[in-house]
Amino acid sequence: MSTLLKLKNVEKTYTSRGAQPVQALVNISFTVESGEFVAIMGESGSGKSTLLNLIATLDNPTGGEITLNGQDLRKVKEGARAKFRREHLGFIFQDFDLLDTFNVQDNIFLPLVLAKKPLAIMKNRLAKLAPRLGISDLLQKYPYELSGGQQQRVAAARAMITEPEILLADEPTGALDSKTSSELLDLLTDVNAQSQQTILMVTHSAVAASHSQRVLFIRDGQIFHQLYRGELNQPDFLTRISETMTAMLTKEGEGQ
Amino acid sequence: MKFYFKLAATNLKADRRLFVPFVMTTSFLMAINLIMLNAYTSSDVLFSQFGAAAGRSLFMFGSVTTAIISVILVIYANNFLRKQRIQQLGLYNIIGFGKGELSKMMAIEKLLLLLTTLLLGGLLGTVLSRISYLTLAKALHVNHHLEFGLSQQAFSIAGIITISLFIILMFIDEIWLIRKQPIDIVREQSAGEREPKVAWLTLIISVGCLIAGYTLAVVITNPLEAMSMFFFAVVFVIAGTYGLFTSGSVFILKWLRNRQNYYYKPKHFINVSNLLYRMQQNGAGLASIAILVTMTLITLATTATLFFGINEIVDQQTPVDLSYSVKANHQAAASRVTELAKIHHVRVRSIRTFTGPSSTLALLKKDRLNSQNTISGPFGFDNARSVQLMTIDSYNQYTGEHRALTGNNILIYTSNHYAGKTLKIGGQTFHVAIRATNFANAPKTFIPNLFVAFPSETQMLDALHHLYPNKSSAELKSSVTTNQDVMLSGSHANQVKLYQDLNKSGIALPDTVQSRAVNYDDTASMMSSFLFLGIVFSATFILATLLILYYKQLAEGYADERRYTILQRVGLSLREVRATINSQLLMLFYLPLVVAAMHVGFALPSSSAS
Repeated sequence: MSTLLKLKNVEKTYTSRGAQPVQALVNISFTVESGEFVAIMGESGSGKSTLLNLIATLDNPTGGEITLNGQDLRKVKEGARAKFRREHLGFIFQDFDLLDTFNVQDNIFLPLVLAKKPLAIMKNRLAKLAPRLGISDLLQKYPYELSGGQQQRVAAARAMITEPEILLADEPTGALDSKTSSELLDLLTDVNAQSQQTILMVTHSAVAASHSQRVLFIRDGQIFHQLYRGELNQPDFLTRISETMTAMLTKEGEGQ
Repeated sequence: MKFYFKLAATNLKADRRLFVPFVMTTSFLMAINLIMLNAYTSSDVLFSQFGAAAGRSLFMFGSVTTAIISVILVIYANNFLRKQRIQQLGLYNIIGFGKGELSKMMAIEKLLLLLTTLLLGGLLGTVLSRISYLTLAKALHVNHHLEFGLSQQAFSIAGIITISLFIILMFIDEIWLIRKQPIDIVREQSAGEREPKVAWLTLIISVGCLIAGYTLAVVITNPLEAMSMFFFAVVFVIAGTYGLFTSGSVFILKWLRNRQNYYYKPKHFINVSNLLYRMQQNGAGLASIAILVTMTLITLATTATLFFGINEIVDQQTPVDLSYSVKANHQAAASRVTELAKIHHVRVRSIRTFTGPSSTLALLKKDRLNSQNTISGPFGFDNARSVQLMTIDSYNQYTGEHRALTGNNILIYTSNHYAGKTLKIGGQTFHVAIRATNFANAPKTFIPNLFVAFPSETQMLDALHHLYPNKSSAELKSSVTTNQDVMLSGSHANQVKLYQDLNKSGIALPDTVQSRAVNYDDTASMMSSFLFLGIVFSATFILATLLILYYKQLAEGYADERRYTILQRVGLSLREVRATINSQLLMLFYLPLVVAAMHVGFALPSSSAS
């Protein structure tokens, strides 16, 4: 396995006029190997979303460097970032973010249309992707006609149709009930296992994190702990994660 | 109570991007109402010399129209305002504002808006009224030192209109509050919108309406019919425009979407789907813009054409400087008029004398001329004729020619072609022996002229009797008068004085004196008033257009915000987002203009004919 994503001493400080600078991320360093499924866990306000925005080139770090496949993200110019995103990254968001003006098929085609890919390729890819995500029957429907779980699967299809090097998921189960959540997580696990799709997921849910192979705990803008799944099955991994979290909370208590 | 005032003031301030245009609109509308009302209340002064009644009713019409437009526009603006605030009102409801409190808050907001409107509108209206009054007075040749052009009555009426407007709005809001729970609407709003379907029936009907309207406008060249049919054409076109924008646009966009090679290109992809989504909500708004722009252009064009065509109109109506009728063969009139003219420093250049009965409207059926009493049916360009009978002697006297006719031969002059070799009047059949190609100073009217000269007076009176079957021969004989066309040289003012003196002198028969100079003043005052109305209306239409455009843009901007954020995340650069928004904006801006241009193109030939 080769290193796909590498963060080295990444910092992000927000400075707003007349207020104290806020350090959102402090000295973050980690790597993601190609084909890995990594979860970044943290409470809200821990800096995990900021981290994802930096990797997504939606924001700039104030220090350190991020490289994707050896390319320094800082060197991707502002105007080329949209192109960079649609060529290298795929996104799944908490609130699905499907466009209500398009039907399902066109929502999925969107990034490819923006990339000016020929129609034949789009159709070809969708034909392969749709059955895997179980959305073959939904293609002509509009987002408002779908359930939350269905919408999230469509969003996953949109993220994956560009065949991205890394799939970035921001609280993908945040707006789903537990049943559809586990369906989606199984789906992500499948995708990761079968097509060696690299996935970086940000979540505050231990259940969601337990589907990954490695969990990075982030607190107050710092990587606090790291947990490998190894040979554990998902329920056991969940227990490990929970224990770690409890330990973290206890330590937090001690610190005060 | 103080709390509500504070709350209302805070709301107005916070949502100023909604309320400022609203207050500007209501203030402008009040100003426009004031201008019209001031013109109306001053119409007696403005039209003191000529046509006071006509001027009064014209400005009355203008005042009523602007008031009606104000009501419609303000209700539209208020509905938009409320829609944009649903979320906010819902929030107030959630944190514990009952309906009573909400309606109190909204009423006080209205009160504050009303006070601002009265102040701003009053000020603006005063300035603009004064300016427009001075302009009008100048155009109408009125001594404008007389009055300031501002009347208390106008201010009271404009104030009452504005206050009533706000009371109406309060009622509408109140009804809305009673009928709906704001919290329900917040939920309703966040629910997705359905994909628009092509409303085939609407589409077919609206295309039909548009074709019908255009056909009416183009096909009808007869000005008499055009005047009445133009109204129907307008109704058809308005209905067609609304239908076309709402259903036609959906049809076209769906067709574009089905053309995959066109649709799956970045720019088209986003634009077509956005517009498709948008058209359903905004078709009506765009149609309104198209119609308002059309109305503005047509109003301005016709009133300006009329204004700049004053000379032509005057030439048509009064081809000679002075004309009057006297009793048949009254010899002394000419010399007395010449004397009168001298007193007023006007020189008589020429006098043409014509003796005959007054002209009459008759119906021409093939080669038979019938009295207008005999047929009850539509008058048209085809069958109606303005008939002037005369003897050949009168003809010769008037034209200075030396024509001779005998037996049943007649001379005719027509302003449109008459092919017949004979002309039947009553039991008589006349042979057209001479066709005059020209008749000096023949009145130019919508109805074609048919002049007939007979060999003898008896024949003429006989023919006249058939056109006036209800009148006795004696009456008809006495209706024959002598008319004199006088060409003058002298100043405009002196010619007006000559006209007034001649009217008083009793030389001419009552109500027969016509002066080109006086007619010019009359026409000019009418046309300037038309132009004034045209400009005021156009200003109102433009205001309405701007308001709709602004609110539409604002609403869409907010609706699009989320959409473009998603697009950016998926991989659309900021520059591409901007380009897409711009091209969509331009499309939405130009589409109504293109349609308006099309309407105007079809309408103008027709409206300038009438």
